[in-house]
Amino acid sequence: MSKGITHKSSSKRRRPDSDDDEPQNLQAIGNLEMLSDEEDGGDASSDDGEVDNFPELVAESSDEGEDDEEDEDEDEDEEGDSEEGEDDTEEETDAESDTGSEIHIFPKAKTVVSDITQQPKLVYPQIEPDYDSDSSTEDTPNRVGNIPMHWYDDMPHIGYDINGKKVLRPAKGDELDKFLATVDDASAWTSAFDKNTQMDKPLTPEELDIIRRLHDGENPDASYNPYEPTVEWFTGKGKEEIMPLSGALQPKRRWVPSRWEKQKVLKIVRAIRQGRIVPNKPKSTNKFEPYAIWSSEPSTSNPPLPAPKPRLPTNAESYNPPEEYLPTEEEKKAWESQDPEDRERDFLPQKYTSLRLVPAYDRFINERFNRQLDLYLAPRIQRVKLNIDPKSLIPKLPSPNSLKPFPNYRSLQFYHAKGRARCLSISPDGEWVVSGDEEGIVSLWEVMVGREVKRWKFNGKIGALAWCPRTDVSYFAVGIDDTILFIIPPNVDSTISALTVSVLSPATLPPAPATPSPVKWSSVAASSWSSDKPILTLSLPSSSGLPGQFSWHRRGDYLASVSTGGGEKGGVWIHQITRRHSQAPFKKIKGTVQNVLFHPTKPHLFVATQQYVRIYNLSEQKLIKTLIPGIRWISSMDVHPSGDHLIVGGYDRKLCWFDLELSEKPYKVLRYHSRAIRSLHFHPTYPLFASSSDDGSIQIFHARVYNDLMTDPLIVPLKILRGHQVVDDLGVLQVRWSSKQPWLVSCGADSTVSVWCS
Amino acid sequence: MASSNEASTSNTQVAREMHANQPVFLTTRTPYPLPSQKFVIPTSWKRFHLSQLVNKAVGLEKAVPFDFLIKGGLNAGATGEMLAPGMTLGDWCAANGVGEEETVEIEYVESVMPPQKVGEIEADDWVSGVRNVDGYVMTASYDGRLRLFDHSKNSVMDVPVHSAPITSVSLISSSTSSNDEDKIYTVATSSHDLSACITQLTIPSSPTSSKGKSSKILASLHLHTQPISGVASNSSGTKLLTSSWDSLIGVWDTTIPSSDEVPLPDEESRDKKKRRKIENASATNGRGAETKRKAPIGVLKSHVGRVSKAAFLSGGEGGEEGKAVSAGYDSTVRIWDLEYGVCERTISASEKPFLDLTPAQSGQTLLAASTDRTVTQYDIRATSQTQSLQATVATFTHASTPSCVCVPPSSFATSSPSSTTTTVNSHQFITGAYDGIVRVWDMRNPKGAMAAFKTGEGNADSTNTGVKRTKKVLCVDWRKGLLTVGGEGGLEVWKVGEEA
Repeated sequence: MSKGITHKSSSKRRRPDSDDDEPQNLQAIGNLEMLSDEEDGGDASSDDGEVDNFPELVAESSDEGEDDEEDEDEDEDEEGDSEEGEDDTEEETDAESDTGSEIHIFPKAKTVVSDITQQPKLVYPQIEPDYDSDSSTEDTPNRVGNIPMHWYDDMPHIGYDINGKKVLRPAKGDELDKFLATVDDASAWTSAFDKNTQMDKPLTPEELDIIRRLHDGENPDASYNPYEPTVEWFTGKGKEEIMPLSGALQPKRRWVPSRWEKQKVLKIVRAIRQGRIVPNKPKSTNKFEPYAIWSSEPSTSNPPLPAPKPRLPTNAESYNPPEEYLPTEEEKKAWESQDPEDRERDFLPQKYTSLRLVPAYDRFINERFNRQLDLYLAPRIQRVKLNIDPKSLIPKLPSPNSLKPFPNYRSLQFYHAKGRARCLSISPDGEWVVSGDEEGIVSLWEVMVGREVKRWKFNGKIGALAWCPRTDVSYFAVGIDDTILFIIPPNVDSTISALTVSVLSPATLPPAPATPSPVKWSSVAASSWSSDKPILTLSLPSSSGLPGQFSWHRRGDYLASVSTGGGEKGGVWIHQITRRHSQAPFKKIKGTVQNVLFHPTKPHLFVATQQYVRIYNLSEQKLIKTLIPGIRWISSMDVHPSGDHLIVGGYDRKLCWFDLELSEKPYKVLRYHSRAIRSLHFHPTYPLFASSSDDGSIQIFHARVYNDLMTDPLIVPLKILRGHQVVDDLGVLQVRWSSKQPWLVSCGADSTVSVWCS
Repeated sequence: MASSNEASTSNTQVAREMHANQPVFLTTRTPYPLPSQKFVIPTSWKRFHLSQLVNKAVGLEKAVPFDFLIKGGLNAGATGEMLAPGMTLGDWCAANGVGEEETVEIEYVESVMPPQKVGEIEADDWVSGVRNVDGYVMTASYDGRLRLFDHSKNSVMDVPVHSAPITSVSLISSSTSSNDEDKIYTVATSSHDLSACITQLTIPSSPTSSKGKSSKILASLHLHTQPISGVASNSSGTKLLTSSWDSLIGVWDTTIPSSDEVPLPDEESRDKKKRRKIENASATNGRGAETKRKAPIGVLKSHVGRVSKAAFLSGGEGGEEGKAVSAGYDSTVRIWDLEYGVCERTISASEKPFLDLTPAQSGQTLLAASTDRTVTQYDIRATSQTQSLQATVATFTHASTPSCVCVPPSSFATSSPSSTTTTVNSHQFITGAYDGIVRVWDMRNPKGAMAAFKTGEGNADSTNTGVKRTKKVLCVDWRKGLLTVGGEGGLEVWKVGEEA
């Protein structure tokens, strides 16, 4: 080591000396280069040159010999060499830059102005095809031609010159000499082996330039200019091509629009229309959008659970467990007799005196498989169970107890002998009920006692009953086949009775209307009338069917009736009692009319067809609104006493609440019945309504309507009244409220009429 | 004390049941008094044990069942709370917060014997009003006829009075004729035909002979424009009250005027003719020329809905003559001063349309049945408050609509007063309901009826539809131990409480 250090120090000491040597070397190299250049120019005595080179090589080696004295210090040596190399290249580039503009392989082109086109053009010198024109063989001493040169491998010569003399093989040193020559000769790396002369020849600057250009990917021709100005042959003034280049006829496709193009365009247009192609689609910026990675809330979910760890082995698993872990014979037997699932542990502890004696583990695959199963089936995510209290989803509604009174029990029942009790009506003072059944019996009874006071028998079903809402008269209308009858109940005050008789059977008939109506009005004379028979009979046109529904106008002068038979006028008639005149409000109506209703305050008429409810203004004779309940078949409807709300029930169990101020879609759809809804009724004074259904139940709802338009109506289901029997899939056919009490009267297919009290 | 007792848990309850005793002071107003001394009674004793104790202590030969009213509880009023059957004394003490060492005062009364059916009379139509008159049962029916039965179910009389259903009947006076053989009853009936009638029935002493039986409609009362729901007479038989659906109450005297006070309206003449025709056809006597049309001496106007019932406040202990009470569908009970014809006081209940009312024997409270399935006892002593809550004494809850309520007449009104029975029954009343069940209540025990029995079961179902229909009870009358129940199923007579 100490030796190394001393070497280094010595080398440092010597450095200034070597530095001093360099300028001399440089000069020497520079001379060499010049020599080689001369050689290139005229290579007549290549052999001599070679020979001359040798002493120099020797000189070099002597230099190296000096270095040899310090064998180990090769680094220093190489450094020196490389420095010399660098210097060589510098010289070389200098030489190239000097000759760069002169080197030409190809004949140089001249730029002349053409006589014809008046444009400059490149003109290359003419090649004279004389003997010397091929320079390739010009000064080659060996004239054997292009033959495989290994034919001369055994010869002392390598061919013959132009004079037939042998060209002797140039002296060839061994590999070391070659190497030394390359080291010595600065132009060795730019020389290539010449087959003909069987020696290395340095490349000419032109050839080196070509190599450089090929290496750089340029055109090998140094004089080639890729950026020549374009020559405008046919553009510009006066150079337009007027005549066609050929006299051939124009092909047809030049002027006939292309069918295929058209189809293609159509296809595109279609695609644009269908949206498959979006023109002017903003180009999706696929660029990475930076975002604030910390701005979002960190996830609150727990990190995934780690995989379950296998149980660590205990003493029992040891190959050499303590004696107490070893099973006894009984335990062994018990373990073997058990099912694998029932075993406490899945192996038997065994004892081996050394680890060497432990056999291969027979349950290895089994255990691995079970472990994989464990991993596969283990829960990896802790799922938070959604703990929603179902009660919190129920809307907050006031308790039914706070919304009393409403009917909650059946006070009494009234029995029809047989036949379904189809319809009923309650007198405007809320004291009397008339109920009609399919046997043609109309019964009049007290609401609270339920004793039949009077009975009328008619032929055919009773379709509808309606008590006149006037309080100064007392009568009701009964709908039977093709006929509407007006009956005065017994036991009314004499003044009321007299007024009723005078209304229904006036002494002087009003003048007949201008247009005769097909409805015939015939009344019994006041003198011969008794309460056993109807005082007034309206004969609807024949085959108009059973009047299924009545609706009185609030003032009690107009009665609207709907006949099930329909007919071309929808079966809707409006009867005016004082004028004794009936008219059909609709000339033609689409669909069959299910229900009609007078608006409680305005001159409007609600008409329910199978699927729509239309509101007509009777005084202006026009349609105001069409409500779409979304019910497949409307069965019944009723209007709130305020006139702003309408409920519609359907055979498909739906009950729709409409706010007439709002849209034509229902405000609320209730579907609480399990069978078709048959009847609906709003209580005239209490905020209640009831719906009856074929499932034999009646549902009572609290329906509070607020005066300010901002508050939505409050609908609270209050009570389901059960008690009617379902007979022939028919349940409760009609419900009506008592006008002054929160009492409900319902009639059902079980031929009973029930009074439900609060 | 009470709080500590409540705080002490069921452990003490168990201990008390096992061997705790309660000092008790027994009083009575029955003719079976005990020496006034304290008894120490095991708290596990029930009514039966107490009753046995009293029987043994008094030394009665024939066992008399007793009911026990415990005083001094939280809920018990001045009259005390009745020990419910099946409840031990300890239970009651725990429920009412009475400590172990407090002396409990218990009053014992003779308990009501289970009602026994005496008989039933089939009626042609629904019976809307019944009245027991000595030896007879008078019924008003929905077919407009007034019938009289004796106790052997024989029809004594059948008088068509009205052309429309009769809604109620009231006895004005009963007297014997000059020759002391015939009994003469003056009866008022109200009907759907907008009028009430005063009818005189004369029954000879030998009811089997048809001779001498006569009935005469003395007067018809014309005021109302809607059906009359009830008629009531005062105890002396001088005045009548009619209540009607037209919210009016008519006050009438019972003197028969010599001429029509109300002119015959033209429209009614035809009706009248018809009615006369019917009456002529049905019976020899009828509402002929001798029937006087009578006008009211006063009209009480304050109700806003149908008046269900109006009644005189019989004197009683604290009651006054010249006052009336009425109840209607407008959920009010009104107390009227008849002299001035004004409403003195209004008790407004909330949503209780009243169907019937009756003043209690004491004259201080009244019982009103309403469609919300309750019978409510109201205090009518003159206070300025009109709130129903403050006036409510007790509420008796029914399973069905109670249609009628009845208390036995007070002692001095009955012909043969016996002091003992009056005290027993002065707190009892009877209600009939639409489910056909008649219930016997004690006013001191609003928790449950003392006895209940179903009527209308004996009658074969006339319609024979196979479905057993409940027969509504529409009217009850209870005097001298005989309870007459009228309704949909006809007439039934039961023996309840007092000795017959």
